Order: sequence, then C-alpha cells, then structure tokens
Amino acid sequence: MKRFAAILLLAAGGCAAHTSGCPSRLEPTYLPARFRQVAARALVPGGGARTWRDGDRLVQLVDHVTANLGDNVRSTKVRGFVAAYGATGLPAAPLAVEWRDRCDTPYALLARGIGPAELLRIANGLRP
Amino acid sequence: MRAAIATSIMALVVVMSTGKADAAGFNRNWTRYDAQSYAFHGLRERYVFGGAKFINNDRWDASCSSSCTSSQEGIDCSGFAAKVYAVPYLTPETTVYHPYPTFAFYYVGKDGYGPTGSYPYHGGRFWYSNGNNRNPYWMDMFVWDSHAGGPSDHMGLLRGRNSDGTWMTREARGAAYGVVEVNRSLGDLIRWHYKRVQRAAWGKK
Repeated sequence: MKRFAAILLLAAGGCAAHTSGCPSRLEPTYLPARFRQVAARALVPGGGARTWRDGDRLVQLVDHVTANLGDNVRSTKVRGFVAAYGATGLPAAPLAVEWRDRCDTPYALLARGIGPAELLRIANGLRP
Repeated sequence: MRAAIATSIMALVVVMSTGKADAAGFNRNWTRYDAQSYAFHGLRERYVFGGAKFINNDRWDASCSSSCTSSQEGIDCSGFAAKVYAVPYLTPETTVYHPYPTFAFYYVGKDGYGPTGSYPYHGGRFWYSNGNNRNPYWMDMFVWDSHAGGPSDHMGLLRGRNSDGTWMTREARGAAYGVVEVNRSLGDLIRWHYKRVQRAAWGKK
C-alpha cells in the first residue's frame, strides 16, 4: 500500500517536473580579445543570459529565448543548425543571430560593436 | 493510509482534469473584431527583437525589450501575434509579456492544439491548426518556421482577403519596418510552407 502511494506521488511529481534532459548551457570557445564576462540584465526574454564586454563592445548569449527577428533576416548556419541573423532594433545590441540548437532549445546571440562575421564566429565557437 | 491514497488520487484527477486554459485566464469571449482592433492599434509602431509592448500613437517611441519605461515601446512578431490573440491571456498594449516564440505556434500537439512542451500553460488549448493552409480565414495567423521550409521564423495575422486574391496582414515585420500591413499572396505563403493557426475559441459578436 505504501509502495502504491509512493508511485502515485512520484507520478504527480513527474507530471509537474521539466524533464527535457537537454543541456542548455553553451560556452564560448572563441571571443574577441579583451572580452570579459560581466553581470548584466538580459536584453531579451528567455531562460538565462550571459554577457561578455570589452568597453562599449558587447555580446550576450540568451538561452530559451522567446524573441524572433521577423522576416528581414539573412539565413546562415550556427553549429550546423539553421539560423538567421539581422537587426534587432535594440540600441544596446543592434545585431543578433538566432537558432534552435540541440533538443530544439532556442538561442540568441546579441552584439554591439562587432559585425556579422565576428558574431557568427563567436556563435559557431559555442560548445556545451 | 487509505484516506491519504484517496486524497492523492483525487488531487491527481483534479490536476489532470482542470483546464490549463482556465488557469491562464484564457478569454473565450475575445472576438475576431477585438483582435482586429487590437492589431490595428499596433500598426506603425516600433519593432524590437524580444519586445512585447506598443504605444498606440503611430510613431516609433524610444526602444525597449523585456524592460520598458512608460515612454518606450517595442514588439516582435510573436509578441505581437500573441497579444492580438490574447494568449495565454489578454494583456494591455503597454504591458510587457512575451511567453511564446514563433515556433511554439507552429508545432502544435497531435490533437492540433497548442501550446505544447515546456511553454507557459502547456497543454492549454489556446490555438489550433489542422494543417489545412489552403483556405485561411479572417484573423487566422500565418506562421513560418525556418526548420520547415520557411524563409525565417516569422508570423503575423491575416487581416482579410483583398480583391486581387492576396491577403492583407498585420505583422511586426522587422527592425527596418516596424508593425506593418503587408499584402501577401497565398501562393507565396504556401510555397514557404506556412502553417495556418486559428484561435481555439472566438467569442461571438
């Protein structure tokens, strides 16, 4: 009887838990010289944001992002996944690339003070 | 012990049977006219990546995204479409709330309803798609997915059919455009594998 109750409780817990099992944290293996990680608020809604800066230049990685760049974008690949980059309308980060990584986890890498080629190099250097 | 088990079973039944849409305050009285009016207010306002707020004054106010002051605005395609559809619940034009990315609307459940997966109020029956994209209707959504042949992850509202057969849209198109009206041919929408998404329930007027 106790075992039955325990199974019930486990089932109830399992229904509520997030069980994707997919890694969401990517780390940059390439950043332009002098970029250092800093604490900063997320520029767009999502699960979590990490920011690297060099003076006024900035890149920010946001996981589980719910933002979309619209239809005025350029297609590319990031880490082998379909991606798009374009203007954000955000003065704090005018450029971004967005893609869905493993397990359909959506990411955005936003930037200020660096161009698309550098942005894509950083994005393609991300590793779990 | 039996009482405890019975209580557990009752709790499970309640959790599983309570509509999550109800929990979210999904408004089943929201009409196509309400959505049309809401979308019209958004026209000529500023697009911002990740934004979910606009000020209805027909100019691009200072930009913002997830955090906005009263004099800033910005909204992206999925933020705009969700607010027009009042999903998961109705939020004022100036309230920042952006719960769903575009592909959350594209990938509905086996029963045709969304949102699915790990999105807020997943399992709620807020929108619906049966895959038929040949006969859209007034205030349906068009949704593109870059993983399904779309030119990008983008979406908007189909405001109405023009006399030449194209569809007039309302969409937060991008940073260079803002929230605009676009005339899109159904052929182009189909060529890019758009998904026609409907609100799960409309109020009657």
